[in-house]
Amino acid sequence: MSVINSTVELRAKAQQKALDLRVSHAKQGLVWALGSGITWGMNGIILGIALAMAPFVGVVSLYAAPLVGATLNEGGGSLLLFFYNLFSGKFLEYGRTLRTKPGMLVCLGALCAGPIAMSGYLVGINMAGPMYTLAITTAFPAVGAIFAAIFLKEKIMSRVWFGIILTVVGAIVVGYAPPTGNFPHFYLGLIFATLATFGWAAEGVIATYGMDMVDPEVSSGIREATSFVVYLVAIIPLFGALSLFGRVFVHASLWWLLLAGVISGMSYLCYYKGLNMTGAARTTGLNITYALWGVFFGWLIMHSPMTPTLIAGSVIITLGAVLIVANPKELINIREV
Amino acid sequence: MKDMKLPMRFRVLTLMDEHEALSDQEVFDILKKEYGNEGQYRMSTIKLHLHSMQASGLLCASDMTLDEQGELIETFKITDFGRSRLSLLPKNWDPKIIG
Repeated sequence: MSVINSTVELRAKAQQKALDLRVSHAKQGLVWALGSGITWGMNGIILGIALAMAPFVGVVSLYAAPLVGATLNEGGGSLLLFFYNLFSGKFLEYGRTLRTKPGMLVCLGALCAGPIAMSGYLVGINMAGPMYTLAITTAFPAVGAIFAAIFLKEKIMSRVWFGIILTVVGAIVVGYAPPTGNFPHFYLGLIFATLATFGWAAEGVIATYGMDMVDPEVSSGIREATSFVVYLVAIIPLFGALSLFGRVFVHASLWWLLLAGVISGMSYLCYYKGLNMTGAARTTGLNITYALWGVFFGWLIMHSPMTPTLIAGSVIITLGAVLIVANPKELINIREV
Repeated sequence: MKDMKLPMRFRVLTLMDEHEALSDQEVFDILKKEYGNEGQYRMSTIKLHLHSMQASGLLCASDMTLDEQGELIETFKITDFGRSRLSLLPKNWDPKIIG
């Protein structure tokens, strides 16, 4: 009898240990997802410093400066992740991953988010103004959660839905600027902003699907490299930004852009690990806390003033994030499969 | 010579399809021949792949027990959902070429 009891006891202990391990895995995923928001907030501040320096000051084109910034941002990120994967013994995984369909999906996700969504965002700002474009594009975690529920069958509780919506509302409040100017192509601008929203939301879902079978660290490296190459050979020439791109290399802003790129690489590493470990819906919801971290780092580094709007938006984002991460035990099985 | 190996995580999934159930240690031992000379060949990496695929529903726990030191020994098996993802394997991939 005592042998049976000890066997049952041993089994119960093993089951508890396995459960603890799975909860710990889910919690780690949430930490990575939050890390992606913190580093992205920091990235925005560094990028802002770089774009306020020569040769960007006084550039007439609305697109050239942010696109050149984005290109070098992706370039710095892909370099960091290449060396990260090289030193963690995953260099050969690049080629292997690119020869598989999941690897191609990671590249497709990169195209959706990098060149397509970013270009849509900038054209949207030009045609419809920043306020409406920001409001539409900030909704990408909510659209991503809908995609994740449909295509990945992710389990999303009503509390988490509410948390995602709160983070979106908070990010809009933080970025609010009263509408100004005359926009003759206003509705076309809204379409481009919507394209950006769908692009960023699609990346999360497509990459998560691919990373079921390939390493997230290698995937984030491929994502950054793909985006960098497409920016360099297609987007920069298309928007007439080649001359500005060349001029950056003789200015100190290059170093700031590369620093921003390194932080962007860290952010994508966190984002892809979060997507893989905790799902697309929660990760995109926690990623958008970058608006909150941007306020914090802006205050810390740039001594930017804390307005009541910024504080209100930050509080709303924090509440949303708390609702998203409230119960990691729900994440033991991410999907209803 | 062209590297015909799969990404290691994808290879773990195919291994689970080839066997009824495997523990993390068994997966580690089987993969030694293919990935043993690479820096990524670590027990921590294998465990992370297994737990990520378990959380995503591609694998499920088959059995679990504790060894003499109280360390958890988990056995995993592939789910129907995980098996459906094998349709994404490269058409020319053949485990016999590697093995």
